[in-house]
Amino acid sequence: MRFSRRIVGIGVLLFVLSALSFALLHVMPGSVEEQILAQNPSLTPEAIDRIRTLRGLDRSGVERYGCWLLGNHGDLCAWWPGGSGVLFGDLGWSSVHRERVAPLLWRRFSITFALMFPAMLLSLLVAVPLGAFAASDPRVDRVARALTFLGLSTPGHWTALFAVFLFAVTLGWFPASGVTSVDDTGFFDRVYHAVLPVAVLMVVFVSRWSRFVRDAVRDALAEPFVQTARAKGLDERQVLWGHAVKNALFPLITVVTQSLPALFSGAVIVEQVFAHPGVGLLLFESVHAQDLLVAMVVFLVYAAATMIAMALADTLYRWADPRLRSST
Amino acid sequence: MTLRVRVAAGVLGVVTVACVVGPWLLPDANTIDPTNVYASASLAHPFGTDDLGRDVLARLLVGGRVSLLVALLAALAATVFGGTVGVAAGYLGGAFDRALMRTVELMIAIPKLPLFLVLAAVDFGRWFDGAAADVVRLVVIIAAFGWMTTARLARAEAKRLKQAGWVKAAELLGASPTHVLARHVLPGALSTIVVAATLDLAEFVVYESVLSFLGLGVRPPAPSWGAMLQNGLTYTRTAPHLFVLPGVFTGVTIAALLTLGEGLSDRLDPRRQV
Repeated sequence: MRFSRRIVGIGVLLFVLSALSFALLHVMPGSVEEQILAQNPSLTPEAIDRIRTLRGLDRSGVERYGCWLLGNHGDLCAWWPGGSGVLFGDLGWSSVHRERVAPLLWRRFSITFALMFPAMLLSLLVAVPLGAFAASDPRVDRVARALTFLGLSTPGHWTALFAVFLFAVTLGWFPASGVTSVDDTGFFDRVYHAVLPVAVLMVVFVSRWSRFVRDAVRDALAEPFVQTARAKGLDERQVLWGHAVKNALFPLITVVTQSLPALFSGAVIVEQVFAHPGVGLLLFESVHAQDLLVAMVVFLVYAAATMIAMALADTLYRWADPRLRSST
Repeated sequence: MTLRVRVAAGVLGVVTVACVVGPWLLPDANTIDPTNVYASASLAHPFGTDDLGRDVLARLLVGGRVSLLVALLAALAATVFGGTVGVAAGYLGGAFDRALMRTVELMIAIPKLPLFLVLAAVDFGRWFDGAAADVVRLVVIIAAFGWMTTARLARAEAKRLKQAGWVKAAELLGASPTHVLARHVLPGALSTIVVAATLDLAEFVVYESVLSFLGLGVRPPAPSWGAMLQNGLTYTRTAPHLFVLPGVFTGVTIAALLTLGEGLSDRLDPRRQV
């Protein structure tokens, strides 16, 4: 009930956001003409004027936004070159990549997903046990704190560069960049190319999440129900994993779901350093190159993913924690 | 104060003083020497030279001025704005509070990168000259997207303080909301805001670095830690010190700020003292 209401709210918000971002991208300094000229410097002013008319760049912003949404159905938007409209499921045409936006986005998205999903899953598998052990054993805690502190202190792009320098350039264990080799594009080759970027992403995720788990488990260990469990005669392992960790995982739901949009947005830094052409890099390039239809779609997919993740976090949390169901 | 926090404060002091005073004692950061490129450490150039033969230490310290100044100004702006708005929303509640929370959610949902690009293209040179324009632009970009955490924390703290006895007492004595807010709620929330500001500083040093790394920071030849990192990216094979050193400076500063923030929050929040 609440969730469906929020979905409607998200729809409205997306609509507002799409208008805002459309306006913003169009007032952005630097003209499309310059981009066209940069691609082909030998164009005459007349040819540029023709391109402007063909792409509808001489129309007003409101007109273009309307036709972007509704497509070239009626007479009003017959000039629109971007296809049959976003509202009708046609995402349009990329003027830089010279292909339809949907397959382009899909290809880039699969690259991002292949990087982010394993990184997040593995981080979770490392962060939860690490945090739990750190909460229960002071010696583990000291080591874990030092390591995660190191992870939190080093900026992500530096970690990425250092990983390339150490493991690719100096030691030569892993390739420095690319999604696959030129001559081999099999599954294992992809995994081999993903090791370094996934490891760099894991440093970021694990440092944050394991500290969070550690604090939550520590708090849970101080609760009366843990004392009860101990009084019942359960051994320390059962108390930790069966009672404390189980309860500490609820707040982790929020933290993890909040990171989920990264599955769609990617990490532009990691994608850039390792030359993985994912969604993050696509957004960066398309705004830079004034490939507006692409930028708009990526922008909105990301915004939608973030808002759905927030709603999902609230709902899951409510579902996991019975105390919250009745209140608010 | 624990030893950790003392060390952190000391490191931070040394870095700051070095960045402020250092450039006066060292060779000029932008003097090119084509006969002496990629040099390793020597007496004349303690951290070697870069691809144009410029003194790396001098550039690190001048760059540190830019990076720290940007982070400091942005943190100041974000703290004043986020703190004020957050405290007011938490205490006043109602429509203002709802509007703030929706705005914060929206700001988090918006992909920041394209907006960074758009803002980076805005020409601040109209109002400020040269290097100042770049610094102001970075501060505006970072502060505009960095105030939400402070606002959230300040709001939560103000909501908690609203229930406190002395606040209730002031209200019953007939104090106006502005008075209660300024004299009773804001001072109470100040410790939370100060901790948030310290952690913001650490985050904003990273922001500057990332923005410069993506080419949205200060314009060459002016150095900053992020810009030097980006420049060093090209020479990972020939001269690794060009990207390692700015990273170390950034990392050490962030580590010190994080430790300081943690120490402050432990000190100001008795519940967390174990």
